[in-house]
Amino acid sequence: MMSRQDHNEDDILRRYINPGMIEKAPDSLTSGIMKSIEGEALPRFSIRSLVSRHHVPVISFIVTAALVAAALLFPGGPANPVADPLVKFFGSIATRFSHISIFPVAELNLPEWIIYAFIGILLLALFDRALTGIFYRNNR
Amino acid sequence: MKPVNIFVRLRNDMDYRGDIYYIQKVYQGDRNAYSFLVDRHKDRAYNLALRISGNREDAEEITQDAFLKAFRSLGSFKMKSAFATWVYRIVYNTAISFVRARKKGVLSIEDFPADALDFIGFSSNIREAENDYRSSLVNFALQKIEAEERALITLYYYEEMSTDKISEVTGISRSNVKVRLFRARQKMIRIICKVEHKNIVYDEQAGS
Repeated sequence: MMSRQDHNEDDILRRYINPGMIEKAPDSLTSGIMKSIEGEALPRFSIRSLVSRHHVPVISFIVTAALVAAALLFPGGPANPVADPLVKFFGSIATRFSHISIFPVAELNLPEWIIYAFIGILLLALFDRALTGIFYRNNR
Repeated sequence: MKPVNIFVRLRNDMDYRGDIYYIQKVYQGDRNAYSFLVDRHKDRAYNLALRISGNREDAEEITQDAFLKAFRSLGSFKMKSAFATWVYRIVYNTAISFVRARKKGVLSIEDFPADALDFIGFSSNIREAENDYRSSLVNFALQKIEAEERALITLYYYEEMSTDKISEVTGISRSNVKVRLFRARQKMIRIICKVEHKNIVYDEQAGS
Protein backbone atom coordinates (compact mmCIF):
# COMPACT_ATOMS: atom_id res chain seq x y z
CA MET A 1 0.00 0.00 0.00
CA MET A 2 1.39 3.39 -0.99
CA SER A 3 1.81 6.31 1.39
CA ARG A 4 0.13 9.60 0.45
CA GLN A 5 3.42 11.13 -0.72
CA ASP A 6 4.22 8.03 -2.73
CA HIS A 7 0.74 8.14 -4.25
CA ASN A 8 1.17 11.80 -5.23
CA GLU A 9 4.55 11.12 -6.80
CA ASP A 10 3.07 8.15 -8.62
CA ASP A 11 0.31 10.40 -9.99
CA ILE A 12 2.82 13.04 -11.14
CA LEU A 13 4.93 10.46 -12.95
CA ARG A 14 1.89 8.87 -14.59
CA ARG A 15 1.05 12.24 -16.15
CA TYR A 16 4.36 12.14 -17.99
CA ILE A 17 4.46 8.48 -18.89
CA ASN A 18 2.33 7.00 -21.64
CA PRO A 19 2.25 3.24 -21.03
CA GLY A 20 0.83 2.38 -24.44
CA MET A 21 3.84 3.86 -26.16
CA ILE A 22 5.84 0.94 -27.48
CA GLU A 23 8.40 1.66 -30.14
CA LYS A 24 8.50 -0.99 -32.83
CA ALA A 25 11.72 -2.93 -33.04
CA PRO A 26 13.64 -2.49 -36.31
CA ASP A 27 12.36 -4.76 -39.10
CA SER A 28 15.81 -6.23 -39.59
CA LEU A 29 15.98 -7.49 -35.99
CA THR A 30 14.30 -10.86 -36.58
CA SER A 31 16.44 -11.66 -39.61
CA GLY A 32 19.55 -10.55 -37.66
CA ILE A 33 18.66 -12.88 -34.80
CA MET A 34 17.87 -15.82 -37.09
CA LYS A 35 21.18 -15.27 -38.85
CA SER A 36 23.05 -15.29 -35.53
CA ILE A 37 21.51 -18.65 -34.52
CA GLU A 38 22.30 -20.31 -37.86
CA GLY A 39 25.54 -21.81 -36.68
CA GLU A 40 24.25 -22.68 -33.20
CA ALA A 41 23.49 -26.23 -32.10
CA LEU A 42 19.78 -26.91 -31.82
CA PRO A 43 18.59 -26.81 -28.21
CA ARG A 44 17.32 -30.13 -26.93
CA PHE A 45 14.81 -30.73 -24.20
CA SER A 46 16.96 -31.70 -21.25
CA ILE A 47 16.16 -34.43 -18.75
CA ARG A 48 17.96 -32.31 -16.18
CA SER A 49 15.40 -29.63 -16.89
CA LEU A 50 12.59 -32.17 -16.34
CA VAL A 51 14.02 -33.15 -12.96
CA SER A 52 14.63 -29.57 -11.90
CA ARG A 53 11.06 -28.63 -12.88
CA HIS A 54 9.57 -31.44 -10.82
CA HIS A 55 12.07 -31.75 -7.99
CA VAL A 56 9.38 -32.00 -5.30
CA PRO A 57 7.60 -35.10 -6.64
CA VAL A 58 10.93 -36.61 -7.75
CA ILE A 59 12.45 -36.28 -4.28
CA SER A 60 9.20 -37.51 -2.70
CA PHE A 61 9.17 -40.55 -4.98
CA ILE A 62 12.80 -41.38 -4.12
CA VAL A 63 12.08 -41.12 -0.40
CA THR A 64 9.00 -43.36 -0.68
CA ALA A 65 10.83 -45.90 -2.80
CA ALA A 66 13.66 -45.95 -0.25
CA LEU A 67 11.17 -46.53 2.58
CA VAL A 68 9.43 -49.37 0.79
CA ALA A 69 12.77 -50.91 -0.20
CA ALA A 70 13.98 -50.64 3.40
CA ALA A 71 10.82 -52.35 4.62
CA LEU A 72 11.33 -55.19 2.16
CA LEU A 73 15.05 -55.64 2.57
CA PHE A 74 15.72 -55.09 6.25
CA PRO A 75 14.73 -58.08 8.33
CA GLY A 76 12.36 -57.58 11.22
CA GLY A 77 14.47 -57.42 14.36
CA PRO A 78 13.70 -56.86 17.98
CA ALA A 79 10.75 -54.64 18.82
CA ASN A 80 11.16 -51.18 17.40
CA PRO A 81 9.84 -48.49 19.77
CA VAL A 82 8.88 -46.18 16.87
CA ALA A 83 7.72 -48.41 14.05
CA ASP A 84 5.84 -51.09 16.02
CA PRO A 85 3.31 -48.76 17.67
CA LEU A 86 2.66 -47.13 14.27
CA VAL A 87 2.11 -50.48 12.60
CA LYS A 88 -0.19 -51.60 15.42
CA PHE A 89 -2.14 -48.32 15.23
CA PHE A 90 -2.82 -48.58 11.51
CA GLY A 91 -3.51 -52.27 11.92
CA SER A 92 -6.15 -51.50 14.55
CA ILE A 93 -7.83 -48.98 12.22
CA ALA A 94 -8.06 -51.63 9.53
CA THR A 95 -9.55 -54.09 12.03
CA ARG A 96 -12.16 -51.56 13.22
CA PHE A 97 -13.49 -51.16 9.71
CA SER A 98 -13.29 -54.82 8.79
CA HIS A 99 -17.07 -55.17 9.28
CA ILE A 100 -17.71 -52.77 6.40
CA SER A 101 -18.17 -55.13 3.51
CA ILE A 102 -18.54 -52.63 0.69
CA PHE A 103 -15.34 -54.02 -0.66
CA PRO A 104 -14.22 -57.54 0.09
CA VAL A 105 -11.19 -56.21 1.94
CA ALA A 106 -11.07 -59.09 4.42
CA GLU A 107 -10.89 -61.57 1.59
CA LEU A 108 -7.96 -59.83 0.00
CA ASN A 109 -4.68 -61.57 0.53
CA LEU A 110 -2.55 -58.45 0.78
CA PRO A 111 1.21 -58.77 1.03
CA GLU A 112 2.80 -57.77 4.31
CA TRP A 113 4.67 -54.82 2.87
CA ILE A 114 1.41 -53.00 2.09
CA ILE A 115 1.30 -51.51 5.57
CA TYR A 116 4.82 -50.14 5.10
CA ALA A 117 3.91 -48.64 1.76
CA PHE A 118 0.90 -47.03 3.40
CA ILE A 119 3.11 -45.51 6.11
CA GLY A 120 5.52 -44.43 3.36
CA ILE A 121 2.78 -42.63 1.51
CA LEU A 122 1.76 -40.75 4.65
CA LEU A 123 5.38 -39.75 5.24
CA LEU A 124 5.58 -38.80 1.56
CA ALA A 125 2.74 -36.34 2.05
CA LEU A 126 4.63 -34.75 4.95
CA PHE A 127 7.89 -34.57 2.97
CA ASP A 128 6.02 -33.15 0.00
CA ARG A 129 4.54 -30.38 2.11
CA ALA A 130 7.92 -29.60 3.70
CA LEU A 131 9.79 -29.59 0.38
CA THR A 132 7.14 -27.39 -1.26
CA GLY A 133 7.61 -24.92 1.57
CA ILE A 134 11.39 -24.94 1.03
CA PHE A 135 11.56 -24.82 -2.77
CA TYR A 136 8.61 -22.54 -3.43
CA ARG A 137 9.25 -20.16 -0.56
CA ASN A 138 10.01 -17.30 -2.99
CA ASN A 139 6.63 -17.63 -4.64
CA ARG A 140 4.85 -16.50 -1.48
CA MET B 1 -14.85 -9.06 -51.85
CA LYS B 2 -11.18 -8.81 -51.05
CA PRO B 3 -9.28 -12.04 -51.76
CA VAL B 4 -7.74 -13.54 -48.65
CA ASN B 5 -4.11 -14.49 -48.86
CA ILE B 6 -4.23 -18.09 -47.69
CA PHE B 7 -0.63 -18.01 -46.49
CA VAL B 8 -1.35 -14.98 -44.35
CA ARG B 9 -4.39 -16.77 -42.93
CA LEU B 10 -2.37 -19.90 -42.20
CA ARG B 11 0.31 -17.78 -40.54
CA ASN B 12 -2.37 -16.01 -38.49
CA ASP B 13 -3.80 -19.36 -37.39
CA MET B 14 -0.39 -20.49 -36.24
CA ASP B 15 0.00 -17.20 -34.33
CA TYR B 16 -2.79 -18.27 -32.03
CA ARG B 17 -0.72 -21.17 -30.81
CA GLY B 18 1.09 -20.68 -27.54
CA ASP B 19 4.82 -20.18 -27.13
CA ILE B 20 5.23 -23.79 -25.91
CA TYR B 21 4.13 -25.06 -29.32
CA TYR B 22 6.99 -23.22 -31.06
CA ILE B 23 9.50 -24.17 -28.36
CA GLN B 24 8.63 -27.83 -28.91
CA LYS B 25 8.97 -27.30 -32.66
CA VAL B 26 12.51 -26.02 -32.08
CA TYR B 27 13.24 -29.11 -29.91
CA GLN B 28 12.07 -31.26 -32.81
CA GLY B 29 14.60 -29.58 -35.11
CA ASP B 30 12.60 -26.78 -36.73
CA ARG B 31 14.99 -23.85 -36.27
CA ASN B 32 12.64 -21.48 -38.16
CA ALA B 33 9.97 -21.91 -35.47
CA TYR B 34 12.15 -19.66 -33.30
CA SER B 35 11.35 -16.75 -35.63
CA PHE B 36 7.71 -16.89 -34.47
CA LEU B 37 8.85 -16.49 -30.87
CA VAL B 38 11.17 -13.62 -31.82
CA ASP B 39 8.45 -11.81 -33.80
CA ARG B 40 6.00 -12.18 -30.96
CA HIS B 41 8.28 -10.78 -28.23
CA LYS B 42 10.83 -8.58 -29.97
CA ASP B 43 8.99 -5.24 -29.64
CA ARG B 44 8.62 -5.38 -25.89
CA ALA B 45 12.11 -6.83 -25.45
CA TYR B 46 13.52 -4.03 -27.63
CA ASN B 47 11.66 -1.38 -25.63
CA LEU B 48 13.01 -2.68 -22.35
CA ALA B 49 16.53 -2.68 -23.78
CA LEU B 50 15.98 0.81 -25.24
CA ARG B 51 14.89 2.34 -21.96
CA ILE B 52 17.73 0.75 -20.03
CA SER B 53 20.47 1.57 -22.55
CA GLY B 54 19.11 4.91 -23.78
CA ASN B 55 19.92 4.54 -27.44
CA ARG B 56 18.59 2.53 -30.38
CA GLU B 57 21.85 1.02 -31.61
CA ASP B 58 22.70 -0.39 -28.19
CA ALA B 59 19.11 -1.59 -27.72
CA GLU B 60 19.25 -3.50 -30.99
CA GLU B 61 22.55 -5.11 -30.03
CA ILE B 62 21.25 -6.02 -26.56
CA THR B 63 18.02 -7.50 -27.94
CA GLN B 64 19.88 -9.56 -30.51
CA ASP B 65 22.31 -10.80 -27.88
CA ALA B 66 19.47 -11.66 -25.48
CA PHE B 67 17.53 -13.71 -28.05
CA LEU B 68 20.71 -15.54 -28.98
CA LYS B 69 21.28 -16.41 -25.31
CA ALA B 70 17.65 -17.48 -25.03
CA PHE B 71 18.06 -19.81 -28.02
CA ARG B 72 21.19 -21.39 -26.51
CA SER B 73 19.50 -22.05 -23.17
CA LEU B 74 16.10 -23.03 -24.57
CA GLY B 75 16.72 -26.63 -23.53
CA SER B 76 16.76 -25.60 -19.90
CA PHE B 77 13.65 -23.39 -20.04
CA LYS B 78 11.67 -24.68 -17.08
CA MET B 79 8.21 -23.65 -18.27
CA LYS B 80 7.37 -22.59 -14.71
CA SER B 81 7.02 -19.01 -15.86
CA ALA B 82 5.77 -17.65 -19.18
CA PHE B 83 8.30 -17.61 -22.01
CA ALA B 84 7.91 -13.81 -22.23
CA THR B 85 8.90 -13.40 -18.56
CA TRP B 86 11.90 -15.67 -19.10
CA VAL B 87 13.04 -13.70 -22.17
CA TYR B 88 12.50 -10.43 -20.32
CA ARG B 89 14.78 -11.66 -17.58
CA ILE B 90 17.52 -12.41 -20.12
CA VAL B 91 17.04 -8.99 -21.78
CA TYR B 92 17.18 -7.28 -18.37
CA ASN B 93 20.41 -9.05 -17.34
CA THR B 94 22.02 -8.49 -20.74
CA ALA B 95 21.08 -4.80 -20.77
CA ILE B 96 22.36 -4.18 -17.23
CA SER B 97 25.70 -5.89 -18.00
CA PHE B 98 25.99 -3.91 -21.24
CA VAL B 99 25.32 -0.56 -19.58
CA ARG B 100 27.75 -1.29 -16.74
CA ALA B 101 30.47 -2.18 -19.23
CA ARG B 102 29.74 0.94 -21.29
CA LYS B 103 30.14 3.43 -18.35
CA LYS B 104 28.63 6.38 -20.20
CA GLY B 105 28.98 9.89 -18.78
CA VAL B 106 26.08 11.32 -16.81
CA LEU B 107 23.89 13.88 -18.60
CA SER B 108 23.53 17.28 -17.04
CA ILE B 109 20.28 19.21 -16.70
CA GLU B 110 21.64 21.67 -19.30
CA ASP B 111 21.63 18.90 -21.91
CA PHE B 112 17.85 19.00 -22.07
CA PRO B 113 16.34 21.30 -24.72
CA ALA B 114 15.09 24.63 -23.33
CA ASP B 115 11.37 24.05 -22.99
CA ALA B 116 8.16 22.79 -24.51
CA LEU B 117 8.08 25.65 -27.02
CA ASP B 118 11.03 24.03 -28.80
CA PHE B 119 8.84 21.00 -29.50
CA ILE B 120 6.06 23.04 -31.06
CA GLY B 121 8.42 23.87 -33.88
CA PHE B 122 8.43 20.17 -34.82
CA SER B 123 4.69 19.66 -34.65
CA SER B 124 1.70 21.66 -35.77
CA ASN B 125 -0.47 20.11 -33.06
CA ILE B 126 -0.02 21.56 -29.56
CA ARG B 127 -1.23 18.43 -27.82
CA GLU B 128 1.17 16.30 -29.84
CA ALA B 129 4.00 18.73 -29.05
CA GLU B 130 3.14 18.52 -25.36
CA ASN B 131 3.21 14.72 -25.49
CA ASP B 132 6.55 14.78 -27.30
CA TYR B 133 7.93 17.18 -24.71
CA ARG B 134 6.79 15.03 -21.80
CA SER B 135 8.06 11.88 -23.46
CA SER B 136 11.49 13.46 -24.06
CA LEU B 137 11.59 14.79 -20.52
CA VAL B 138 10.84 11.34 -19.10
CA ASN B 139 13.47 9.72 -21.34
CA PHE B 140 15.98 12.34 -20.24
CA ALA B 141 15.16 11.74 -16.57
CA LEU B 142 15.44 7.97 -17.12
CA GLN B 143 18.99 8.38 -18.41
CA LYS B 144 19.99 10.25 -15.27
CA ILE B 145 19.07 7.42 -12.90
CA GLU B 146 20.79 4.06 -12.51
CA ALA B 147 20.26 1.27 -15.00
CA GLU B 148 18.44 -1.01 -12.52
CA GLU B 149 16.11 1.84 -11.56
CA ARG B 150 15.43 2.55 -15.22
CA ALA B 151 14.44 -1.08 -15.69
CA LEU B 152 12.07 -0.95 -12.71
CA ILE B 153 10.38 2.25 -13.94
CA THR B 154 10.04 0.74 -17.42
CA LEU B 155 8.59 -2.53 -16.19
CA TYR B 156 6.19 -0.86 -13.75
CA TYR B 157 4.95 2.14 -15.75
CA TYR B 158 5.44 1.18 -19.40
CA GLU B 159 4.89 -2.57 -19.24
CA GLU B 160 2.40 -2.18 -16.35
CA MET B 161 3.75 -5.23 -14.56
CA SER B 162 2.92 -6.03 -10.96
CA THR B 163 5.72 -5.98 -8.38
CA ASP B 164 5.51 -9.81 -8.24
CA LYS B 165 6.15 -10.07 -11.96
CA ILE B 166 8.97 -7.49 -11.75
CA SER B 167 10.53 -9.55 -8.97
CA GLU B 168 10.38 -12.60 -11.25
CA VAL B 169 12.02 -10.74 -14.15
CA THR B 170 14.75 -8.97 -12.20
CA GLY B 171 15.46 -11.58 -9.54
CA ILE B 172 15.09 -8.87 -6.87
CA SER B 173 12.82 -9.66 -3.91
CA ARG B 174 9.35 -8.12 -3.94
CA SER B 175 10.05 -5.84 -0.96
CA ASN B 176 13.28 -4.63 -2.56
CA VAL B 177 11.43 -3.90 -5.80
CA LYS B 178 9.02 -1.65 -3.91
CA VAL B 179 11.83 0.19 -2.10
CA ARG B 180 13.88 0.72 -5.27
CA LEU B 181 10.79 1.76 -7.24
CA PHE B 182 10.02 4.33 -4.57
CA ARG B 183 13.57 5.73 -4.75
CA ALA B 184 13.59 5.73 -8.56
CA ARG B 185 10.26 7.53 -8.62
CA GLN B 186 11.54 10.20 -6.23
CA LYS B 187 14.69 10.75 -8.27
CA MET B 188 12.73 11.10 -11.49
CA ILE B 189 10.29 13.58 -9.95
CA ARG B 190 13.24 15.64 -8.67
CA ILE B 191 14.88 15.68 -12.11
CA ILE B 192 11.63 16.56 -13.87
CA CYS B 193 11.01 19.38 -11.39
CA LYS B 194 14.56 20.71 -11.84
CA VAL B 195 14.18 20.79 -15.61
CA GLU B 196 10.73 22.40 -15.35
CA HIS B 197 12.07 24.97 -12.88
CA LYS B 198 15.02 25.68 -15.16
CA ASN B 199 12.56 26.21 -18.03
CA ILE B 200 10.45 28.59 -15.94
CA VAL B 201 13.57 30.62 -15.01
CA TYR B 202 14.69 30.61 -18.64
CA ASP B 203 11.29 31.83 -19.80
CA GLU B 204 11.30 34.59 -17.19
CA GLN B 205 14.76 35.72 -18.25
CA ALA B 206 13.79 35.59 -21.92
CA GLY B 207 10.69 37.64 -21.16
CA SER B 208 12.53 40.37 -19.23
